[in-house]
Amino acid sequence: MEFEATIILSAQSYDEPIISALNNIETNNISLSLSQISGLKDEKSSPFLLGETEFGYGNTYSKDSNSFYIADFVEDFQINVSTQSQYVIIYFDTANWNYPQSVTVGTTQYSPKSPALVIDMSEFGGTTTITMSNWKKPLPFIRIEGISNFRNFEIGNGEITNINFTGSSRSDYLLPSWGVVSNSGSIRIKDKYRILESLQRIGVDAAPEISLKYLVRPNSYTVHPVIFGIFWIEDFTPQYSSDHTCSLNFTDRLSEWRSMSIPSFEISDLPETSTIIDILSQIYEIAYEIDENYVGFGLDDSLTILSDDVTLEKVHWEKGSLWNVLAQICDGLGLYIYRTANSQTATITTERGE
Amino acid sequence: MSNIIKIPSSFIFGVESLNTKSNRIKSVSNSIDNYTLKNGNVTKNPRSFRMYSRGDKKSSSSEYYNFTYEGNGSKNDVSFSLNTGNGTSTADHYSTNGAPIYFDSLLLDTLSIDGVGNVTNIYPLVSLRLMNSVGLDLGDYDYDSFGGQYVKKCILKYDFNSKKLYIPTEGLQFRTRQYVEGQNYAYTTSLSIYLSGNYLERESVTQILGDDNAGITFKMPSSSFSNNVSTHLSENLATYLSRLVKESYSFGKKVYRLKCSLGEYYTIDGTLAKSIKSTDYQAIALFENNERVIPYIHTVNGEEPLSMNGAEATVFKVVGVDFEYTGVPWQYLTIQEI
Repeated sequence: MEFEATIILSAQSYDEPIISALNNIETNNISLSLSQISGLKDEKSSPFLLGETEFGYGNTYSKDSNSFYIADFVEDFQINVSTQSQYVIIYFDTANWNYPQSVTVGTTQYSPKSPALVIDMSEFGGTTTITMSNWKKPLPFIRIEGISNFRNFEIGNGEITNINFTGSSRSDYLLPSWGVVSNSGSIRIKDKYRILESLQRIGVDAAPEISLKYLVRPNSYTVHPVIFGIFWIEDFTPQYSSDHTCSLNFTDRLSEWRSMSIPSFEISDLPETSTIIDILSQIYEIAYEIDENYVGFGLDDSLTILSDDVTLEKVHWEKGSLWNVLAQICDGLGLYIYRTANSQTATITTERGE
Repeated sequence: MSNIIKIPSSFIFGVESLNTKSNRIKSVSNSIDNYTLKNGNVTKNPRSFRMYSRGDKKSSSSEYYNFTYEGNGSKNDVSFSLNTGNGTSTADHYSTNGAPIYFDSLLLDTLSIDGVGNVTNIYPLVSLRLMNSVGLDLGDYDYDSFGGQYVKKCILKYDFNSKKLYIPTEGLQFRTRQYVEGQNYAYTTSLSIYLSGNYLERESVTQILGDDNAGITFKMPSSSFSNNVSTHLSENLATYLSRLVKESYSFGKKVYRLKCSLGEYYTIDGTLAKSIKSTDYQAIALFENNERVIPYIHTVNGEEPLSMNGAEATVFKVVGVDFEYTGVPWQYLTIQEI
């Protein structure tokens, strides 16, 4: 059983190659301009096509060697990148632990601390030159293990060592427990280049979503990635172990409700037909006005039945978090709210009738 | 809802019962006799209940109210009507607007009725022991004729300042519904009580609405309230009602935690429900909350349902899906009997 994960860093879509040119061929002693390379297949593709991109004296970039050498080393190594890309990662020489200690992108100066550099290209306009210099080890050659670009950070099956999450629908399985339940989990991945740390350092979306998928293979020729959970990395703080694996914690995002403040609210003289559903709908709208991207909630069918019996005369609550407001209603009416792993919204339901 | 998925024993790699003797007193009773309340009282005949009025917490022929059982099999309804114990109540007893009644304890139970009107189970419904002033405001009338008795829905009101619970009409009506496989939710039980005016004391009732501290005023939800004795009513009504149920939950349901593989799961009707290699790749092999399952285990007699409810396999509801992948994926299902 194979699994994949995607850390969703950008909602934008694109369909063109990202790194469009590496045009100072003479300086870099690269015999084939990247502008001649087209057909990047997806956002994971390297701008260097395996076996086709030639460097130096005709060496091709090969996945087997997983590197290319730039002979006749010159101090500055430059590439040009179009800003269609959100992020560019340059992988340096891990065998020799050699990397440039100074990287200039446009007018911005970076000082890499590890053999990979993540650059947020969205800060730059047009085509931008990346200049790498002051190499840590002045070897007679430099080696770059790869350059990739991405909008969303893909994590392949081979890089995932562990996934776990809880999917509770209530806080207590043995006793009636009402209210809002937020679930969480974690994923551990191999990240010897410390890409996630670099992403954190350059300040990617502080709380990106992560989608977890597993691969369904109806036959040996077909693979369907199926999303079985979309979670929220509330605190994007990669935790590394000595084996170069990195752990990320995620939640189902309902915890966001704790910090979402709802103003005080009162409905008096409700029509006789007012039901809990009417009230919940109003809460939904209030929260939507505050943040249209908040995780909303849907109503289970059984709630409609409950609504027949529960007629509200007056509703009032003090200013508080959306979590607390909903929890109070849940307590009063015997409801509970949870979010299933692959749902974008929460479900409000009741155990009545069972 | 009728899509019950079979979990084959070969897919189950661990079963743990989360119930203990203390938290699981009784799950199903096929008899309504000898029902033990949480407070230790034994009701030999649960068709008769007592409600103690203030000033006499113990039984007294003059001050307890007797609930009588009046079933209506054709409607799958059961009503409990409160009589004064000395004859049939009449509407005149309830016509005193504004007259409150005080009581210390209110014990209610409800019955579960099967599709042909037979009583199958008895569930504790609610018990309020209101030590402080509780006004039963005999307000405006809106009678329904029900089983020959006058009953009326009422709205509980709670004064957040005085921490008082008010019952502003002459009675309570709790209704519960039972899910019947293959059918919609249907009324199975209706419990109504009303209080006799013979024993009411006249006293003005505080108007409770309109203050800023009021929370939600609602009709009593008909969840499975249980027997409980609360000595204080000093909190938000919603919190109070929630706690009331939690603390008095004596009818624990069977709860298991299973360690299962991700595989090819079929419904008991033989339809592919979940798959790791289906062409219908949306049928992912992970379970979701609220799905209905019947787990099977190996026995000396072969594969048998994990739990039986009489002659039928117990149907469980998935209430928790934990997932773990460390090279091999596992799903840990927490399931609760329906």
